[in-house]
Amino acid sequence: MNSVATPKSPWQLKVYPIFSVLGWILIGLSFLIGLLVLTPTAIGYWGGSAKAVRDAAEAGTVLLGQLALLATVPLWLEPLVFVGVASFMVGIALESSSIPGLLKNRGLVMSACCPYLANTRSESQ
Amino acid sequence: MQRLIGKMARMYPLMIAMGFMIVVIAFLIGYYNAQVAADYFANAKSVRETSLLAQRAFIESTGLWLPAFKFLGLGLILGGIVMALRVIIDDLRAAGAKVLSNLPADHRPELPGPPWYGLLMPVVMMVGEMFFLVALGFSIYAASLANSVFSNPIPQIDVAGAGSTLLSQVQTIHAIEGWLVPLKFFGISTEFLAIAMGLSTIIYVLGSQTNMLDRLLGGRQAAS
Repeated sequence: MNSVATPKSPWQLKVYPIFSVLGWILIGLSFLIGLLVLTPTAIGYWGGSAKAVRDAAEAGTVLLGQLALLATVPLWLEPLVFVGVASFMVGIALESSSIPGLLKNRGLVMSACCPYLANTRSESQ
Repeated sequence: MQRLIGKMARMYPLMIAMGFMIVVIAFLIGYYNAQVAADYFANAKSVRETSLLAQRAFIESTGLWLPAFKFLGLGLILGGIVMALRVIIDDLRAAGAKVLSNLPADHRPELPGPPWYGLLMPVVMMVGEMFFLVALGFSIYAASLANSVFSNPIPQIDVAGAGSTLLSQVQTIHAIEGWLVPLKFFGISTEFLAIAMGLSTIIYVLGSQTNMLDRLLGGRQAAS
């Protein structure tokens, strides 16, 4: 009868949780920044003053600071979200790439088991 | 409950088809919106801002709800992939049980149960879909506000002072926009989490069934 050596756990299975958790954290962080930073700033900027007042804001004023934040944060927040998505996808790809090795090993074990299964069946009949 | 989820999971092609249809419909609406925008911007600024109010309202409101609608389509496709993984898991377990059914009952080891993350996978998928529906709901609300705001001439919107209804509506739209984009991606990441859980379950089932067969083989070799 054939014998099958137990394979080592693939390296991908050790690494993929890091990428998945990193993706989850980055996207969760982006959501929190949107909720806790951008939303209150937008409420303060758009709700507090008419367009003429906003347009006339001088350097160093709170209004201009809010405008700068509203204009700059989304510029890096969206790429950060995509880094999170990419990280998650790398995690999924790594996880998927470990399956062929497992299937190969399963095939070896199945082929080694077939004579045993056939014998056991014929003994029981 | 798990059996019911298993039966529902077999309808995954329907979910993927629905998601794809939504994304295609979103493309067609986006194309139509582009034509409306082309007509709108073919006019002088003074005409645009005072007379073509309905077009402006349509362009602005569509730009608010359409992205969330597209994400709902993507979410359904990802949900379909999660359900397809569930079908693979169920079929793998059924195949394992079939292989073991060749053994006499007294020699037959018990098939290992699914891990906790395998049982949780459909729930996580549904939570992700909820995020997309919530995002769509808020974006439709923001779009209705935008429709109301831009039904006024632009100069009138510009002079709206603090405390006015118009400025409060503009404020609400921008406040919603601040967290709506990350929320949609949070929905995507939740679907990815469900996919990762599904793949982990497949790996677990494959590994545990192989180990079980390996043990059977080891026992037989020791006996002979």
